[in-house]
Amino acid sequence: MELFGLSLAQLAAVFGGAATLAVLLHLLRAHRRRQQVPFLPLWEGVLAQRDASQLLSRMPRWLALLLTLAILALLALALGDPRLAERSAVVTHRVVLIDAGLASQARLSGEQTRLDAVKRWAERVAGQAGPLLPTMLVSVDAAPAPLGPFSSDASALARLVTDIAATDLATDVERAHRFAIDALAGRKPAEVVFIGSGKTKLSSELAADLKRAGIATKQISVGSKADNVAITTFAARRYPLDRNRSELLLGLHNQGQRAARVELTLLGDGQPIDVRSFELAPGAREQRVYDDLAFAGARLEAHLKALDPDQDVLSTDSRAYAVLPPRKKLRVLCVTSGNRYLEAALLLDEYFKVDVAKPSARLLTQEAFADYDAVVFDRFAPSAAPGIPALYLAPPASSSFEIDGELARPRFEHVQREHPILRHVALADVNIAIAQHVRPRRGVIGGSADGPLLLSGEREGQPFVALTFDVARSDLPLRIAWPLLLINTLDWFANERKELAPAHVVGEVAHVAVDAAARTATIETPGGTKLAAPIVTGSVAFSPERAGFFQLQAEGGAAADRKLIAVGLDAALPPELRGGATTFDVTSLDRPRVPDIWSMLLGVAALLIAFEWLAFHRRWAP
Amino acid sequence: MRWFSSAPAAAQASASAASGEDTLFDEAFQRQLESLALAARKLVQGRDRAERRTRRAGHGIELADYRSYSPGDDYRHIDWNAYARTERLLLRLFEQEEDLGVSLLLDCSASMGAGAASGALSKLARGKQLTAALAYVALSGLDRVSIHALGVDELARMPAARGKAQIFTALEFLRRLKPEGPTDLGSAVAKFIARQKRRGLVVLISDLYDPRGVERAISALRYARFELHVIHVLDGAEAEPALRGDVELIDAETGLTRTVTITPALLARYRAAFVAHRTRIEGFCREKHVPLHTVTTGEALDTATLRVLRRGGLLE
Repeated sequence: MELFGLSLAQLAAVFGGAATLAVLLHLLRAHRRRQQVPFLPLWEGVLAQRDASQLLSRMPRWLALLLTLAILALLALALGDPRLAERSAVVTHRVVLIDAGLASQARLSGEQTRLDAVKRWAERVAGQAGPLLPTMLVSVDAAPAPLGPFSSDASALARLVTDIAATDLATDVERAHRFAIDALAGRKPAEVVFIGSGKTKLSSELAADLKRAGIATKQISVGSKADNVAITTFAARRYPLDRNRSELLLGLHNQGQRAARVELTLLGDGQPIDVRSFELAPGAREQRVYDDLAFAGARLEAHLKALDPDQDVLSTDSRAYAVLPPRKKLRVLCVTSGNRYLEAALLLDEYFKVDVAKPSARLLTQEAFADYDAVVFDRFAPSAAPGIPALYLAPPASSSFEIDGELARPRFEHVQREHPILRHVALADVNIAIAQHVRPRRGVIGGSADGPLLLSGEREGQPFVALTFDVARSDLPLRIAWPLLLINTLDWFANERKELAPAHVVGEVAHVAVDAAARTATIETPGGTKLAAPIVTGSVAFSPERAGFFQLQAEGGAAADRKLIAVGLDAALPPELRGGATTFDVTSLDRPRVPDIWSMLLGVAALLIAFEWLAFHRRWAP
Repeated sequence: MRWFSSAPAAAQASASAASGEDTLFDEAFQRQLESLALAARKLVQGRDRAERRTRRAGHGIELADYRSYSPGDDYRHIDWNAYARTERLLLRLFEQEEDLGVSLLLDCSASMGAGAASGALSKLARGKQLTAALAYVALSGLDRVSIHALGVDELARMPAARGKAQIFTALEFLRRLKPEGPTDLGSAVAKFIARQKRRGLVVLISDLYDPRGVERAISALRYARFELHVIHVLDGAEAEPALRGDVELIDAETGLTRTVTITPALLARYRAAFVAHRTRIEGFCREKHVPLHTVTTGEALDTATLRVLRRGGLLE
């Protein structure tokens, strides 16, 4: 006989406490409530009749106390969960790894998913738990999540299974088994049961570690190999020269063995903007570019649908999400005595709101530029910095530039092509009649051997760009480089590159910058759940478990900071919808259970309580 | 007319009630007695004097009966016309109107004070109130009223008194009575009979818990030719005791104890025994033609008193 519940010392403590309490109560019970009656002979007659009719009513008090102590002893022993030695020879600890990763969302038939089948198996396996088979349930996706400690309560374990939900994270089988090894450390014999989508082949190193730890591995494979089409890549950007139009890159993969007829739908802010049907070859990986897409919104979504549903059993990876950075109008002040080339070029982008002003003394102070995001000085410049980004065209000698002469017929002999304002700009063959000779300190991004022609840098924390020649005395306005240079420069001033929404994938920590003054942030998941997110050093960090659009709202700054975040699946870990053989002994799941001794002890205690109630409680105590 | 408002005795009674521990006979009770007397007066149909007739030969004017002449009888009461017809000397008996002696016997044993719930009226208190009410009604009818406390070793009594003003003496006497000692109605009644030479109306007020039985006392009073009325005072808790679980029962008079676990079945048996006890007493009184009235402690005093007076014929 061995104890599998409380130890002998614990049982002794429990019984000692309970017995002491029982004896105290018995002694208290002996001091009965005293009640005066006017005529005791009336009661005597009644009690004499009862004494004569019931033999058991004469049970003495000490016998009742013994009966109570016997009941307590039985209950205490039941807490110890005693078992016969031969039955208790083997106690196996079991860890059940339940696959709730992305692949478990795959359909089996009808509305049934692989996760439904996995959970049914998990409930059956959990039903085997008992004192001889303590079981721990672990929900597994990219990381293992134990649902509780080792437990012998089969019904409680089965209830835990009910709450498992699938995530969009790829299952990391290796990591899950490593966790099981840690959980089973020091417990022998032990076993790991992996219930997942398809057969999982463990790495040789992991298999060796499991063997070394004395852990047996078993698998229950759900589903069979199935066809699937997926979007593996989805990226979008605005055209630099026409930010009302976008360009999309789509990567598609047909994982099936048959050619799949698919329909690809592009949604912009929830509305269809393009629908195309085409065929994907068996096992094909295709990249498709959607150029010149007329969409100026922010939310882009792609849906891929196989016309034969059996060729796409996993719909989650057939959706992809992207966010285009929002566009805002740039307020530009153009200070010029008259430059048709300049004013015409600034009209090319509708996101420029241009005001034109004549050079005047009023424009020599920073207050004059407070309402603008950028300023263009044409052959005019204040000696002080304007306090906003500025483009100088042929700055005069009175400006802060150090001009010490002129350059005749200079040419762009060297340019820094990696500079943002020189993107797609060709200046090599620009003809210039005359340019100012500026003594540069630093920031020359284009010029000749005789001197700089194009400068950039910062003044009082604000960027500036300067052309050292009058464009009217060159053929630059006749070239495509002229508007490109202007637009690139103003875009660089607008700093929109920083507002490009980075791509986020499920399972990875996403850092999203928010207003530095923000104190609280709330993230709304694609399912509509709102979660509070901590703000650390000006950014919010969270780890999305589902793909879709997340809404981030930061409060506490000057204005509410709202951001839309697109989260996609991890293209590096595509789901594998495999099938496989089960190594678990399925027939052992429904084996009959032998009644436990503790339940018998409880039964005997219940019988004694019933006897005590019948024989003693209704007694006449002498 | 307020009988208690101006008399010095009223002030004395009020002061006593206010200062004593017994508040049974406070101003409210006295007002209740007043209204009770008014109600009793209506019942006697306008008689100014509640004079009661005795069967003894007297100087009345209404012929009651005849009996044979015996030497020593009043010669004037011989019916000569009857002698002419029957040749036998018959004496005419007249109903003599005289004031009635009313003796109120109140059981003051310990059982009369036992069992009352906290704040409830005890049987002795109810008995005192009944005694006072009956005494007041009788005194209002110019009857001679005496009160005897049964249950103490030495029979305490208030000597016979007449007149409404004597009610305060009665109240003071009743106020001093305490429940004590065992019940022995037979011995107490024997002492009463030995002292009370004049026959009259006797009202025995008791809970009738006598281990030796109440039959001996009732029979003795009957044999002594008293017009006996028995008022059985009951506490509702005695019929339906609110006991549950393990208790130790203590007899109020003897101090004997018994431990018992009260169960619903046991309570049912007790109720049956209680009913049997009452039925036995009622049967005995019915057999002996002794009016038995049952009054409970929870019953209103005026209702109980008028019921006793009316059903017992004490007002007619």
